[in-house]
Amino acid sequence: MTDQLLSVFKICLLVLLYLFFARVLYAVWSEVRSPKRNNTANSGGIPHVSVGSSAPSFHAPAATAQPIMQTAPSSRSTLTPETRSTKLSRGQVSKMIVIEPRSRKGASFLIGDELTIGRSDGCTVSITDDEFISQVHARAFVSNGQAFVEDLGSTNGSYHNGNRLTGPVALQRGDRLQIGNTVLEAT
Amino acid sequence: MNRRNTELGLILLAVLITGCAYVLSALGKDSNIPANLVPFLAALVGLLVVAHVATRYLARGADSIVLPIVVLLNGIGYVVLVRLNAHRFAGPQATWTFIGIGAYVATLIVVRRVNDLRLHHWRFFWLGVVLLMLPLVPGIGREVGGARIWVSVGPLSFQPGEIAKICLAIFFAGYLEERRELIAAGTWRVGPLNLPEPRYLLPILAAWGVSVVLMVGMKDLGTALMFFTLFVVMLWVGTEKGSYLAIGAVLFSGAAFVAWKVIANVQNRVNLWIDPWSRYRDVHGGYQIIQAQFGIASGSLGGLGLGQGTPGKIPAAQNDFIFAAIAEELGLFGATAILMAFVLIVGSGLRTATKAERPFEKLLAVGLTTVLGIQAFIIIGGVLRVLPLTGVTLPFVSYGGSSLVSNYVLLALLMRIGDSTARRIGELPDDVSWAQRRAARRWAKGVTRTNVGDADGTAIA
Repeated sequence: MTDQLLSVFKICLLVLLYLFFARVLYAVWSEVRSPKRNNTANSGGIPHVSVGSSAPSFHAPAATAQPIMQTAPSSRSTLTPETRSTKLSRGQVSKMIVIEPRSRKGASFLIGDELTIGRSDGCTVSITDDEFISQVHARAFVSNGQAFVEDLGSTNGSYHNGNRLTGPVALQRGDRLQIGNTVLEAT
Repeated sequence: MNRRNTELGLILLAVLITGCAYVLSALGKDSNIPANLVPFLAALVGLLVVAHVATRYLARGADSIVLPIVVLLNGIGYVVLVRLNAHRFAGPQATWTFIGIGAYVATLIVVRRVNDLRLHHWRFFWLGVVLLMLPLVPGIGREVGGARIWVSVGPLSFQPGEIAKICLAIFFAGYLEERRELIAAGTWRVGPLNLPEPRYLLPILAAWGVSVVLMVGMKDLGTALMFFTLFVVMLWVGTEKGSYLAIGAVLFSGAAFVAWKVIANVQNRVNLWIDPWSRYRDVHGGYQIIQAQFGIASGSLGGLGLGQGTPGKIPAAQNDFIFAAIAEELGLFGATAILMAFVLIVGSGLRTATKAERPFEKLLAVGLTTVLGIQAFIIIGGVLRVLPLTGVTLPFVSYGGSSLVSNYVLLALLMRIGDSTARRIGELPDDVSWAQRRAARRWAKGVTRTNVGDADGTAIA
């Protein structure tokens, strides 16, 4: 193998290396240039299954509220037509996670159709050891594909991101709901 | 063109480059084509197809460029290692690459929601601290080249610091997510300064203390610098207060100055940085730095060609000085390509962080990116004599199992964060799954709505 041939190969290798980076930069550039990628979701003219526009809540999981077993695949179904039409819309809230007290930290509850929180045994989230919580204190529910929380006339009130609830408030991911000494986060 | 297809194309290009480099280095060294070329390529392609398919199914919305770049770095590193000493390095490095890709896939499978890691951040803290302190335990800790960062248990030896960096990044992200407002508030007035209350300053002092212990106990400036930078950068991003950068810099330079005064090894490293010729003939002195400089210089612009240089003359060319070995055989252009790869990884990681919406994910992405970038900076800077030389590995390129595996885990976490952000802002361009397409076609043919609902339901469940 002659040295000239080897150095030609060497230059080819370097060129190839830089072609790789050119391709990478092109990929980055085309992503940065077109932040609005939503339109391509329907490429090929295939109607998304969620075309059932008359019933947006079609996608709300039918399961009643219970400590959840479902994982990622269900999040696919959260791309409802409304959320896809506006660019910055977030995925819809589907469950509540306990942040405080520490002893229950991490427990999560599917909102499903309705999730009630209170001291009574009949509540989905039943907190018996907190005297600041009323029997049926508050509820979270899904309406038209959007999750809301609402205080149910409790004695001590419920707080949504620090503000006392007076009527139903829409839940965004990361919102915090405080009830007595319990804090739940919507995700 | 969606992200995963872009990724597949780039991965194939990276495989092509790795294969060419593998053949070229054998041609340059022994003038014949390696006998195991076909099994090598088959194993490489198989491995990467696994990684790609896993990404396609588990993190569809993640950034498209990072995995190919990492694959390229790993491939080039492997070629250089084989070229240096095929008997010693080829087998273990290939095995560790397999384990690394396995760890990448496993992390994607296990960590479905990065945000959940935050619930365990104190566990990660203790895990990280224990791992960091392991090399100091007599009996299992081992001192190599003046720095005590290795642990040996029987035939296995690893650098626990590599795994600890991920644990601590998770801890810092969780901690700052909880406390950043309190830390940023600054209610304690000391003269003209608005400092956070002392108890919220404690963590930064604790991080400083741990770094100092590391520096003193392990005699290793690089690892300490890595962890301290990680924390200060995350504190800065979390609180949006630039003053933490200044405080951190002052604290670290103070500690570094004292270390330089007191610890012989640190002093030694600094002296060799300023004047490597002073102990040129000493293998543990300036010899390796000078050999690295010679290697880089003889590489010139285009390099001597793979297999045609003499990188074997540089001690530790397989880990600390692998950048010099690459610069010798691929020249300035090749070395620049390696630098560019790290710049692009860091850029992509920071883009993931800016796009992430949850504070924890944002902070974690920043932390992981920082620790990867700073590690590359420390070792490349050490080789190029920008910094005093300290022994950390060049991520994905150097020889070493703990480094490869932990960096693949780090990569998987970054990909997971990118993916969850893409899902949340509805950015997934290829969201229509095959089953959904089928259901949609059936729907278009006029099947009743309830049937579509069922089809959709079963497809999703």
